[in-house]
Amino acid sequence: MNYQLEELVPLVAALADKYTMNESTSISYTKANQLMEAVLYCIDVGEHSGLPIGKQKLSAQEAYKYGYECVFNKVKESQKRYNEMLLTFHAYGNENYKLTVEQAIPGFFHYYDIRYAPQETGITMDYPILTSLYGECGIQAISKYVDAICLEQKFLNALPEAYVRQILYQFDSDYASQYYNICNIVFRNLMCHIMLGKSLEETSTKEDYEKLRKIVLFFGNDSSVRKKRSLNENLQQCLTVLVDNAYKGDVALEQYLRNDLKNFATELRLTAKYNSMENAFVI
Amino acid sequence: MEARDWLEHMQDGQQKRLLLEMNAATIEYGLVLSKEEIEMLLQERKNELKRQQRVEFGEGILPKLIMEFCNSAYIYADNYAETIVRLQAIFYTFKNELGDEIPDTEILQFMYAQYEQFCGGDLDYLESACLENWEWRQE
Repeated sequence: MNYQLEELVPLVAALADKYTMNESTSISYTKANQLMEAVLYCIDVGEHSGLPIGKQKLSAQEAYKYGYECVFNKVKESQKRYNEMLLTFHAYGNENYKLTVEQAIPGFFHYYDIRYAPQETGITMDYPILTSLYGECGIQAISKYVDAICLEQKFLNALPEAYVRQILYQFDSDYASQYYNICNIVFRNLMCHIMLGKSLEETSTKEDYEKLRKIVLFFGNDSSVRKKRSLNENLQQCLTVLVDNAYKGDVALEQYLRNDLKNFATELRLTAKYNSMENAFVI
Repeated sequence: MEARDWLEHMQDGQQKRLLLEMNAATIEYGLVLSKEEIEMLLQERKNELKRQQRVEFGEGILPKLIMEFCNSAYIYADNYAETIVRLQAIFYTFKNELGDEIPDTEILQFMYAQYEQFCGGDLDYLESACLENWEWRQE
C-alpha cells in the first residue's frame, strides 16, 4: 500500500524526536533518510506479514506500528531458531562457514537497530547459501539466511560427519579455507549415488563416472528443449526420492535443495560433454 | 527516497507565529523583529538548512537561539536580525560537526559563552575558530 508523504513525514518526525531524545530540533539529511527508510521498511515488513486480524486498511501510523511489531517478532523468532540450530551446528572444518554462523550472525543480533535502522543488515553473510537474497535486507535477509543454514544443517547432520568431511576433502583438499557452499557438494554426491543406484557405502570407480556420463548424455547434449527438461525432471525425481527416504519428505528442505538443480544440471551436461566429470563431482 | 524530495515540503507558518510571539520576551532588551525581518529569517533558515543538508521538525532552532542570545552585550536593535541570521548558520555548522546526538541547548550555551567571552561579538571568529574549544571544554 502506498502512503502519501504527508502521512509519512510525521512518523519520521516522531522517530527523529525519539532518536534525539527531544533535544535536537534538526537532523542531517542522511539521518532523515535513514529514518524514513526505517519507517518504510517496517511498513513493508508488516504488509508482507499480512494484515492484522479484523483490519482491512491501516493508516500510515497503524501500518508502521504493526510493522515494527512484526520486525520485533521476526527478530525474536529468528534468534530462537538460530540458538536451537547452534546447539548441533557443524562447520565440517570449513572456516568461512564456522565464522559466519558462530560470529557474524550473533553480531547481527547484537547490533541490529530495530527502531532506527531496521533496514540495515550489518553483516556480509560471507558463507553463500543456495537461496538468493537479492533485494532483501535487515531481518528479512537474516531470517531467510538463518532458515537456509538450519536446512543445510538438517541435511548434513543426517549423514556421518566422517562421510561429509571425506566428500569435501575429495572434492577439494583445501576446502577448509574456501568460500563456497559445502552443502551442495555433498548434495550432488548423494544425487549421483541415486542416479547410479549406488549405496553410500559403495566406493566409487572410474566406471561409475563413465556410467554417469552416459546417463547424462542419454538426455542429450544438444539444445533440444525436450531432452533438457528430461534431465531436469530426472534430477527432480532423484531429489524427491532423497528427501522422501532420508528426510521424511521435508518440503522446506526439498525446496531449498531444488535451488541447486538448475546449476547441477548445467554442470552435469558440460562435464559430460567435455568428459571432465571427475573434476566436478565426487561420487 | 531522496531527502530533498520530501524535506523541501516542510511548512513554516508555525515558525512565523512563534517568532512574532518571541518579540514579547525580547522587547525588554530592545530587540524586536519586524514581519519583514521574520520573513527574511525564515527564508535564510530554509536556504541554510538546504545548504547544510539538514531538516528541522517542529518549531526549529530560532526561538531557542533568540532566547539564548537576546541578552548579549553585542546585539543591538540595528544588528539584531542579521546577527541572528549568522548565528543560525553557525549553529547548523556546529551541529553538523558535532553530530545529531549533541543536544541543541548544549551547543547554544557553548556558542553564547564563546561569543561573549572569547569572540567579543566577532561572528567570523566564532565561526572559524571557536569549535576547537568544544573539545577542550569537554575535557
